Amino acid sequence: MSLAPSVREAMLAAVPSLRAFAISLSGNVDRADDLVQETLLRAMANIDSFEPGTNMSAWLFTILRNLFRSEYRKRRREVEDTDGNYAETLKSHPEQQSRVEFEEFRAALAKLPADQREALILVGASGFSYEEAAAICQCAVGTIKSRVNRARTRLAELLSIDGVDDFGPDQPTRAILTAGGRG
Amino acid sequence: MERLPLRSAPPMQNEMQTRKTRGRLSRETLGKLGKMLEVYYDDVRKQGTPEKFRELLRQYEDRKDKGSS
Repeated sequence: MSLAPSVREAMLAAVPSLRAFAISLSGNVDRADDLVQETLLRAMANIDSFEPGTNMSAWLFTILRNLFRSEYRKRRREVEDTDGNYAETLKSHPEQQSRVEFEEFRAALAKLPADQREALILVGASGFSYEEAAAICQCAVGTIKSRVNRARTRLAELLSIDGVDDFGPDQPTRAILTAGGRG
Repeated sequence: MERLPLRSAPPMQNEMQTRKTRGRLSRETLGKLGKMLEVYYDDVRKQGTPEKFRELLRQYEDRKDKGSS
């Protein structure tokens, strides 16, 4: 059985975003890649249930999320690895952001409740609409909206970029340095 | 000279960080958060689709071909 070329390409094209999503769920690059692999295998085995013309990416995200949740239930006793592992594996850092800002963002993201982080990644970083994100998470659109909203508000708070007295990208860095200098 | 709305004192910093945010976030703040999120996952996205996943699909198709003939 061969996949239709368009189906194969759509699956492969979704991999970078799937990996980012898997990393945000599992906090661990190796486990994220295992999840992506398992997702692709399951998708291929069930390709008949994919409706051509619908969003392949959303379908794959749904499979990955379900896999993660069933695995997570099994491994509940394990100590959850936070997003730290991801940062450690990065070799280069984006030029626009300093190391400190990157670290601060990572730490802030890790502080969000899992359901809020998940909603934020889907809508804010994976390009899904609220409706698509709701379908992936099997919840109401309003629930996704409120999770995204709470996630953004909390992040802005943690990073001190909320509100009118915002000063730009240097402020979080300065905040850390100031806080670190005392105590 | 233009007056910048300078945030006053470091001693207030902790208070500022923990205070509740009221109302909606500004468009600018949303833009900034979006950018940060994008940049944060840029690294993994820039890696594109690792070869191992292409290989996985190829192997699966080969196996299926053999299995069904």
